[in-house]
Amino acid sequence: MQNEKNTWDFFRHGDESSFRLIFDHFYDQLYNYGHKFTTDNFLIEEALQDLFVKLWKNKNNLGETGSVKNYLYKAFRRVLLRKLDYKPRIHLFSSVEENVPFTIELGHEDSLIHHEHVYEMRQKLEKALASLSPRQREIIHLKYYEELEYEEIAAVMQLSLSSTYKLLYRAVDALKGWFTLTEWIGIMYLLAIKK
Amino acid sequence: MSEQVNAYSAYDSVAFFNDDRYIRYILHPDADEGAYWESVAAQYPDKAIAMEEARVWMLLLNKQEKQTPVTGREEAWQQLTRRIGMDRQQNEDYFAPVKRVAAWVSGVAAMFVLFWVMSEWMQHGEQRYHTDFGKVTKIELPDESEVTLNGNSVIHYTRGWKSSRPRELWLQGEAFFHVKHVAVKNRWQQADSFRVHISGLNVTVTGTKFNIKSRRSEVEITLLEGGLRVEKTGDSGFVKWLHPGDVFLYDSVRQSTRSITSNVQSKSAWTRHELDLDGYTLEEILQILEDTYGYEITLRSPQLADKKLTGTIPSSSGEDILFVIQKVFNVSISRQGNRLIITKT
Repeated sequence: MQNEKNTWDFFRHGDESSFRLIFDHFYDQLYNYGHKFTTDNFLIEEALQDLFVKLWKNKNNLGETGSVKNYLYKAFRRVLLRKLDYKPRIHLFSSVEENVPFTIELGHEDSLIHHEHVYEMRQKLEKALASLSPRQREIIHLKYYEELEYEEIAAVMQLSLSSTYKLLYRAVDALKGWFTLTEWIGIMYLLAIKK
Repeated sequence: MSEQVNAYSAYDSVAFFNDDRYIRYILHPDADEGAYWESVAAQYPDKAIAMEEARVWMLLLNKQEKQTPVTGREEAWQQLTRRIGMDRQQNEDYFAPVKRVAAWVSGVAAMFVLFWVMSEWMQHGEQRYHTDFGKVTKIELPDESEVTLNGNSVIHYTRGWKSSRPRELWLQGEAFFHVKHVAVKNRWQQADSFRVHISGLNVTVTGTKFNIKSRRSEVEITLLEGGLRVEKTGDSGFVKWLHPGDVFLYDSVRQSTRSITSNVQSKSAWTRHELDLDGYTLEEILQILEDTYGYEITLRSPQLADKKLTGTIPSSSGEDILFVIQKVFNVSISRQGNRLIITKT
């Protein structure tokens, strides 16, 4: 986005008001993302401070960026994970990071969803998500809540594009077994009609 | 087209849940896509339940409650600035509200009426200010920014600044700018930059205070606060970023640039009706008298030309300046209208 590029460039060249704009725009949503990894409010806020201090101190070395959001999410994730004492290793050895928790709290605004069985479906989805690995949960969150594209997810989670596809595929596949309600409802429906 | 729709015959809930097009529609509904999915549902009534289930799951994930920090964002910002050591006080103009003046909107309406006469419209839709020699005028722009024009200067811009387009104007001469931030809700989305076009250069700023002077073949840009970028496109083009305290000079004849650090207050002294003489030679001061005050000057004692002065003098009129020159250099000034001949006594 044209204006986003402007603000980023001005910030890189030392303009404090542009820095403030970036802070104001992303602070809350980064907090929200951080809250999936830990509910420790103090830790998340500290990580955010560290992130923005680092950003300001390092601004002269930053290059242009295609997406400020992706850059910040990726940087924040690294800062936070390091604070949680799960040190992400570079390249292939990401096994330690795999264990960093990720929790999704489904909303309760059923009025937005309009379905008579939404309560049962939420129960089902919660159980389904609990059966996934933390990284599978995270990728589901980035896709359906943050609405990131595959390339963006890969950048934020520091995975290769093919690893991203694989991870998402496995996550969705694991959810398959939980969609049994379809058949169940289908049967009920048919029974209802037969009456 | 039919092949695409046929693919849904093998779909289950998971497949709908994983379908990028369906995801985009459920999370961002629009009429055209709605029609498409309705036709799919009509063609595959037995898929209705699967589509519904996928929809509910997507929305449950998308409508998660947003977690907010315990410490407010404003306080977090204060903490941050303390840590970084940014002791610059917040520009109170940052939160200035946007006021769209009705007069500018009617100017835009006029634009549509004259749409088929484009060039004529450009003239009618233009707002222009100029100052006479020796006159200083303060102008308020449509976004509440302030421009102070020095004598013999011109500024023009199109009426009716919309928040969706960058603010821009054209300058000849000298002006001091105090640009306001445009604090609308979705400021991130709006085209927020402010541009000044001067002597073939493009100056882009965020809310700032800066002085631009273009006289003869030199452009001088001084930044007091905020961020500023000067750009020249084309041959021997360049991009230069200024920091507060920088003075940027561009020689349009030699096509050369240089930067100095200067006392920026002295560059804007004219807005306070003062002239800071520091660093100026007599010749340069006489040029100011010509460019800004409209005199035509002949210096009959050229040995005085690069003599320097110090101090600050009032400059409400050219006469104030001439008075000082007369006294300090012990010269006589003979006049014919605004033509002056200066000779050492």
